[in-house]
Amino acid sequence: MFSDNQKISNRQLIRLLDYDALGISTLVLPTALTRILGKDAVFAIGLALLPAFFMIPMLQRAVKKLRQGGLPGWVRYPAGIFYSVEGCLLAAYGAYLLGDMITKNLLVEESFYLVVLFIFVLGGYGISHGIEGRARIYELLYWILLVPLILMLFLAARDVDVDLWTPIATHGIRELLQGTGMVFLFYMISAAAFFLTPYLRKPDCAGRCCRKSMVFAAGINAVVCLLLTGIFGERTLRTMDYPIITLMSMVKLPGGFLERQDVFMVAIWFFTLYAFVNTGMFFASDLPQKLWKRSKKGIWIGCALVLTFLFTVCIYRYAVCRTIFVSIQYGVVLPVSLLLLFILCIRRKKI
Amino acid sequence: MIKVGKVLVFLTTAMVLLCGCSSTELEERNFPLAAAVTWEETGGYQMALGFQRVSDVADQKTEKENRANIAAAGTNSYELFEEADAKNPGKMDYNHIKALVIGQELLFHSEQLADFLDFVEQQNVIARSTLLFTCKATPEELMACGENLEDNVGNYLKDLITSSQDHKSDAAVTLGDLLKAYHNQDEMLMIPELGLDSGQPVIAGYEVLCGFTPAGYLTSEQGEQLLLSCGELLRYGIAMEDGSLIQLSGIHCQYEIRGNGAQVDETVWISGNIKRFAGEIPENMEELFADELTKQAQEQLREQGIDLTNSYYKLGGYDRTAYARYASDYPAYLANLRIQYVCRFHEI
Repeated sequence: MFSDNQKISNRQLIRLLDYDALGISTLVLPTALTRILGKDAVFAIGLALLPAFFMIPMLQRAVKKLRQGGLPGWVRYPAGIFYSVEGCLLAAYGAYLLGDMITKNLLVEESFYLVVLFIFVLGGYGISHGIEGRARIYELLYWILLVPLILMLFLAARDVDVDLWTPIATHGIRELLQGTGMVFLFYMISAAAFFLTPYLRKPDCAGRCCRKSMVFAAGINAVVCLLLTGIFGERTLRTMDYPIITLMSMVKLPGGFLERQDVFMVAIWFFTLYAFVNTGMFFASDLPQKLWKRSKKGIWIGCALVLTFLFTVCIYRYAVCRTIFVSIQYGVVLPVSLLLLFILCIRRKKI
Repeated sequence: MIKVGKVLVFLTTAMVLLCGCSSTELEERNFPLAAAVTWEETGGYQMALGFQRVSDVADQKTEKENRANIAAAGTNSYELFEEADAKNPGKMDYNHIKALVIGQELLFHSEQLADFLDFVEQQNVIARSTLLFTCKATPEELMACGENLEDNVGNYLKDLITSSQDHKSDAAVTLGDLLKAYHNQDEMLMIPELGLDSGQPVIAGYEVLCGFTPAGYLTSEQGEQLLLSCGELLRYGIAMEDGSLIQLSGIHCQYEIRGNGAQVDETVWISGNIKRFAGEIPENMEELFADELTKQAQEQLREQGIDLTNSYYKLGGYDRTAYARYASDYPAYLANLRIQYVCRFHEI
């Protein structure tokens, strides 16, 4: 039934990236961005596409050079371990959000640790069978999840008060750059397309897939941001944890035949966050396995699970760890990634 | 064979872990349909909860005792809900509350109200879409009047609001609106006040909060004018001095807010279709009605500091200079606001 060649198509890659971008960004970005930019948050969402699109040709060129010449060992091994740990961190943060949402909205009296443990066991089983199976499932479920979401957002638009969007342009350049930088980090989740080029049937199309996914992320986040600001107002939005989930519980379906649709809608974020956790753990196990080709994949999956679980527990128990996680993304991952990209792009021959 | 074994182990583990459902048995839960909360200097928070009468929905009694109303008290919101949870067998599920009545004592004490709202919001206790009321009666008195009703208090209050043919569906004030007013601090909120008429709750008037501060009281007629000015009405009945009865429908409101030095001039255009029910429609109907609305709006501004058009939060979109001047000064904005109505009607 399946090709079973561990290769995925462009469409499957776009679906995979869309899930990763949709879940975490729509959950976290509106509140975080409103705290910096207030009603101007939507401008940062659009503006951040410029540096993101600028990065794509550079990433394409870097990946091409990697396939041609590879990296020297003194760069390859540290970079591989670096991104492997980054995969664990991203998966841990996604698991923290997922576990927090499950224990707040669904299983109120359940243990957070038990919930995330089960998520990781399920995730480990998912990635152990490779990327092809996951991509096919994501492809099948894509419109089943997206159509209700678009419908709910459309119905929520009836409650928008456009006066809550004004006045605009009340923040300075510094806040705008800060907000744009934050959105740019979320768009870079789509850059995972370039890590997956070995699994693509057409590796040269990774850039196009990445671009499409970023446009999708920008579009959906802009709509969500405008809806939330227009319904709750700037100051209320700043205080909310997961405003998109609250919005789903407030939308009234015409006819009144379904009153607790929020229970189903929350499942969208359960699934997309689970996909995000899976992506992080996949990179965390796949990259070391490519570096040490003779080692068994199961060992790296086990290590990734353990490390990610430890990170998740730290993020859950200590608020300072959440701040440290954000600081690592801005202060370590972004500069190191840009530096590596620069080195790969300017490099003419093997070192 | 090994693969089958792995699948069996996985399924068994999943079934063991999926034990969250055991805590949600419906028979073990209590679903209050109405809640009334107030605050006293001596007694702290007081709450009364109204439940569905079991005899109304079941032919036989349930195994556990199920009282119609319960009362609880606490020095803070956490203690209040803990005592409410302890007073009834089974687990309380507040997500089905249809009406929340906040006593006037609590409404007029912003600090205690803020504490209650913070708790309700952070703990996700009561849904944001719960209808909101206020009343002078104590929580126990309000819930006790459920004995005089055909249905429980929650459903009765919900029908009181949703059965109105003249109001738009989103005109109903909810807990979410109060939370919004609490955080945004730049909106006017009109909360229906319940009175008791022959032992049955009725909407006697409206308590108004401006920027989360109690501003004053509006009668039912004044409340209708506020809803008309905010474009929340589908139909509005106009009784003229000569006894004519005219119905206004297809109502559309437009606004213009302009700063004029320190003063802020607001013009409200109201357009719609008018239909005669009794008497004749005066020729200068539009001017007469506009003058009356302007007079009422200015009077409310002067006497109670209530802006019947709820224009403060809209200021930023109309005049940035005025917005910058009055950004964090709602009272000063109200003191310098002048409202003018212009009406344009089409007779059908």
